[in-house]
Amino acid sequence: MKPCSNSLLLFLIAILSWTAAVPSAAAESHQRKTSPKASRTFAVSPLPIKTWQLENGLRIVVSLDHSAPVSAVAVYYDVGARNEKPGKSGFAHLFEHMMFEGSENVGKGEHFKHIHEAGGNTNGSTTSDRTNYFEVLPSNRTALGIWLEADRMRSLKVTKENFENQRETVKEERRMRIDNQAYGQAWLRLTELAFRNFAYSHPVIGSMEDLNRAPLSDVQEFFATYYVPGNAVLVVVGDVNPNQVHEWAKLYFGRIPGKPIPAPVTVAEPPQTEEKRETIVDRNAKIPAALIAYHIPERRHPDYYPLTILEQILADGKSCRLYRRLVREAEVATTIGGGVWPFRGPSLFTFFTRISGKETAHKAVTLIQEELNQIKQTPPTQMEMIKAKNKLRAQFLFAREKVLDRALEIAEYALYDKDPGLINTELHRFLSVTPEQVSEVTRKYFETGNRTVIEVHVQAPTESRREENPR
Amino acid sequence: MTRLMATVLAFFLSLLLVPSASAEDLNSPPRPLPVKKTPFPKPLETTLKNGLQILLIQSHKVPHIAFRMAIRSGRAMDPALSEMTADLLLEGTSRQKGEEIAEAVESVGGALSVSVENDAVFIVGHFLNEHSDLAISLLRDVLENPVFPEEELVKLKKRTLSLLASKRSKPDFLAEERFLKSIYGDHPYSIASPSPESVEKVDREAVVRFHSTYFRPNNSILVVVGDFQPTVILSKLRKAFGTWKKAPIPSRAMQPPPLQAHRRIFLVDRPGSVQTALHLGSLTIPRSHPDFVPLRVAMQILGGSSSARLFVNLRERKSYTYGAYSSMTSFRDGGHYKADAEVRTEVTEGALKEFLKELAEMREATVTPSELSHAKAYLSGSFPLSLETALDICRLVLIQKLNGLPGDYWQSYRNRILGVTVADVQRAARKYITPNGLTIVAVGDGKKIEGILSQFGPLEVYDTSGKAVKSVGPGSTEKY
Repeated sequence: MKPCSNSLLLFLIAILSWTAAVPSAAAESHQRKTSPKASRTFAVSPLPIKTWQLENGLRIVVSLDHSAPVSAVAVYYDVGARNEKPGKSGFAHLFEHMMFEGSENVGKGEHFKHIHEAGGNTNGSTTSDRTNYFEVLPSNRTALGIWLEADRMRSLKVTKENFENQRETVKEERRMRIDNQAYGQAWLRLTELAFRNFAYSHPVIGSMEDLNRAPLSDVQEFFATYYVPGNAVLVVVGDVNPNQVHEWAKLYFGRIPGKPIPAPVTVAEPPQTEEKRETIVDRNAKIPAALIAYHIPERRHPDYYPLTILEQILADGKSCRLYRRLVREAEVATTIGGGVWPFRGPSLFTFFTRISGKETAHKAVTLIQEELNQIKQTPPTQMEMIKAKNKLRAQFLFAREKVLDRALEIAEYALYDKDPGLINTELHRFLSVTPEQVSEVTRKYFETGNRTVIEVHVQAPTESRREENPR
Repeated sequence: MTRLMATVLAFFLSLLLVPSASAEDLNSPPRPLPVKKTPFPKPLETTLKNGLQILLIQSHKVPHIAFRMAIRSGRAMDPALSEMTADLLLEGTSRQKGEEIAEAVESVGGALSVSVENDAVFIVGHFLNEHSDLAISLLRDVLENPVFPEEELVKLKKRTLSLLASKRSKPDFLAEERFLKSIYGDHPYSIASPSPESVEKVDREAVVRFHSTYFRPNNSILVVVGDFQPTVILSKLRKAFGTWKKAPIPSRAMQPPPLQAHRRIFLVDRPGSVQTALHLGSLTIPRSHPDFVPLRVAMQILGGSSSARLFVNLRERKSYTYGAYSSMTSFRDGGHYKADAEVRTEVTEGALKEFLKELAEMREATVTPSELSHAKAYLSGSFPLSLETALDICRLVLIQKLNGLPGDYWQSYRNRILGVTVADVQRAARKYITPNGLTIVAVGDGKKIEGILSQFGPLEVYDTSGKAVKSVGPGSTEKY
């Protein structure tokens, strides 16, 4: 119950700038008239972080910021789709919906009502790795967000009627996001095919069959197992007094009894040795596409940092290698995107590209592999490294504009790594990557045997005509 | 601050803030602390001799500079031409190629993009403030010196056509396209996206002409928000844009969009759809109309959030959809409201009936005082949340400027909302949520829903390519 950091103190950190190392010739060839000034130092105040832990195990993180009278409250639970067993897919997310259906002091729909009336917004989300709930509020209403989160962690109320209502709602969500959209099935198939461990191979949204048969009795059991204080983190960011937040947390969450923390799940993935390839005919799609996934290790693995730099160099923006090669030069594709898809466990590096005119997905996949092979042999240029790092640095600073973005990022570090202060130090790890490390990770992970490819074909016009009833 | 001082301060704060709550208090929502006022920042406003309006607002949260420049001639002038011209701005100038522009922006981790709306083309930038000189020189270069290379136009056309085809796979886009066409008729606001034919037709000469006609300082407004000294940034902007040549801008004579006389129902047949995307709505008012605020409040009550009528009824009560909402969109010369949801095919009829019931209720019955105060509390209370980022502020300033709203519009916005009465809401609802002018669009599996839809009135059927296929149903008997 004591503050674990003294970060009421603000101080400046200075990171030596790599921009100073731009070879002047390179800078000139790119920008004769508008050459960017190389900055010598990068000074930014770290975000203040204070942490506590209640006796029942709930961890609390507060980061104050008085720049605007707003605050964000986020609660992260260490449960996601990866905790689901075969036959129960989609349950973690369905349960997330139930958390808005009422608790002892908050009736169905009243959570939204309280927050909206306070001038705030609220939502929740589920991934394979975690479930979160959050509120953004005018800062004078911060306590309301904390009270609401505590009430549902303490006393979720479940009725058959509400459960059936949310079961149907979630099925609509699946239809809207997956079944009625172009490439929806292809994305589901990509993880299903790439991962052999059920934890990550099955979709967060779940299958219709599993959603249909999810029993009401599972709701209270799931709640009792995973929604315990020791399995959660409360993060508050914004125009607040950290000690006051701590007092509110003690008051509202403190009366929830501590319970055992659920056992961790196994997410280990056997190595892939042969390429996996499939073709899908997507009747929702109008443009053929290719989806590719390579296995990479978990987020924050030492290789994660060079892989993120690789993502910037290959697949971010209009000056990246793949955009130049596939879109501008070869005109094989009209869009290309990709990068690290970070999980807490075995992760993926994916690409998604829409194919141009008469070109083929096969050709796009070949060109992408060629570009990867190129980096295996020759490390990225100095200029590319600088650019990648500048982009990450700017993203890091721009992300500070919104209290919610900060709260969500801090909460991830707090839950996954038990270290919310990583928000102040992670950038440095990206900025320390060398060009050789980028080549090294490319050699390590981008073999065709480690690859899963889904080619999306559009329905041939003759086929669709045959399917339609003549009117 | 020393460590000792911090400890002392923390000690005092913790003493002062021990809450005194009884067990009873724990079971009711905590009371609000005093409201902190957030006045909308007042921009420093200048007009250069060539007519360029510049508005500056300081924001010291992050060491950055964000800008949004509006050229007051957008999609309404010519959908394909305005979009192609805007996109080509970044594809090459007399000083640098398109790739070099992208490289320059991305090298410093900045962002520079163009977008086109009905009344304006926007050029939007976001940079660390150490790169503000680069940002200004890039903006100037793409505005004043674009060369519109022929080969880039050819490539852009190819990409645009492919993206247009891609859009046609989205139910939401197909619904919006038909919806706007019905509501705005022949008015330029009716175009959701340029047609492939109009994209094909654009030639370099037309692009050059469009640019030289409309991309003029006296037709532009630049808003800059960031961590800067106003005098310093202003002198840089003067230097960069002072020589930009003004020219007479052809006046934009536009008839107001026509009012629709009858309910119109459209089916966009998308074989195999597992859901029906429903859009309902009609023509309303321009952004500057005095009824805007009361109608905005009415829309909030109807479907502005997950605690509003449509969501509570269609999702939380009926389980028809993942979400049902209503919204208002207003431009300089017109606007519309829209209620929408994506529902599973089997409940298309039920969902449509509920929508029509909710619209009728909104129009016929007065809202309760608690609904009104709830909606007003949300709209006024959440205003500070919409000012969090520098680009948000740029956007709001431009809404005020482009629509000719009063200079203190955002400063007084919260009070305007709070002044709305039950009678105001009903008057606005009666006036604009009219049964006759209603357009209904359904995108879904025609085999399954055509018969259902035709019960609601005569039906016009389209395919996903946008072609009219047929009309169904007798006369104009409206069953519901």
